[in-house]
Amino acid sequence: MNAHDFTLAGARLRALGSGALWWPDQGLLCVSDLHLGKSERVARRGGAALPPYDTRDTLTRLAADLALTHARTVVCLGDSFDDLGAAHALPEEERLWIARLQAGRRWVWIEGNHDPGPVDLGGTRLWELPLAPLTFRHIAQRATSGEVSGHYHPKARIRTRARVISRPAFLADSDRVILPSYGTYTGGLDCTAPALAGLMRPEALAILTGRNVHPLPMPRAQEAP
Amino acid sequence: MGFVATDYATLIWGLDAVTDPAPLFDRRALREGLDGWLAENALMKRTFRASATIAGLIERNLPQSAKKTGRQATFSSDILYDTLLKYDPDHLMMRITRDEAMRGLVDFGRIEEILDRIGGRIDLIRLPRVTPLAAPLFLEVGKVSVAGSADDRLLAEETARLMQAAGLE
Repeated sequence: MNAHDFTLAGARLRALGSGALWWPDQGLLCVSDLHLGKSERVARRGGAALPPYDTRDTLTRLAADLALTHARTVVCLGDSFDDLGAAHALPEEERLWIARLQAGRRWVWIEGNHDPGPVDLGGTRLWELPLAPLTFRHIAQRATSGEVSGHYHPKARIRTRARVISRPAFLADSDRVILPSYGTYTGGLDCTAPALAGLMRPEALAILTGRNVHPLPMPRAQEAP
Repeated sequence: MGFVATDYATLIWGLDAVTDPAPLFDRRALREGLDGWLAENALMKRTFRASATIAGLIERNLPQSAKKTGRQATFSSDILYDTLLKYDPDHLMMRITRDEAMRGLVDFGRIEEILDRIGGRIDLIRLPRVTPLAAPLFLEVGKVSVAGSADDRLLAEETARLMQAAGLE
């Protein structure tokens, strides 16, 4: 499996190349910031008419991760829908698809800033999910430990000898892990941004996602060139 | 890792030094690679970017207008291209992109003609300096970078070095 293993508060976790977090001992798969229905929302608000296949693509990747892990529990870490309108406007086909993915497993929608209310899809809605020794919530809080969160869509840029490469990344230290966004049409925030740099401990790791995962010490701003 | 072409020369760069040019011009590999290359091709993506900009899907990055549009969502044309290629390859914009890219750029008949003519007579010359014809290529705009396996190798190298420097491995 293309993955990087690490521990958080004693829990053995596995960062997958897809951007999902797998907790084998609990049979739990966690994904963040799916932003389902983003193309619909952008078009509704007068933006560009983007190709409306993002939800399908995100769900295809999620289905692949579920088939790979046989997860018993799925935690969507918030911003699962681009907004509540987008959640309600999902085409029937995509709703049924979500229902099929949910069949036979526990499914938790953590509420995010984009989707802070009920949606008429199966699964439990929670503000946060404590599951000792970890807590799942959308936005990281300072002075917590064993926290799994999303929200920031972290990315990391690496200067290699030939060119600079930027990829979505997990950020992990001994207190928390921040997941990259899983949605197809989502951008990212560089991990040198103050919001992220200030949150992570000095020894934090960035785990680049992609065909191969690459862990490295989290890049910081004004590093010696 | 990338290429740039002008009317009279082509510059291609990669991670490893070329010691045997013959496999690069292998006819079967060229033909098989053409379709995949055309689909995943950075050149197609660049052509697509132009039509996506005209269609209003994405905004052109201009130095002055940067960060002033007030529009929060900007989209990577590569992601849009990949999504359309996967789910709607015959979309009008994809057809336009293909037509644009094919125009005079990729003509396999001509490639085969040249292969016949050179018939394996390829000179590999290592020079101690950049040649006068090659030098302008380094300054040429429109370099197309190709995201292939080189990226993963570069990342693996660099992250291993950083991890070691941090005493983590």
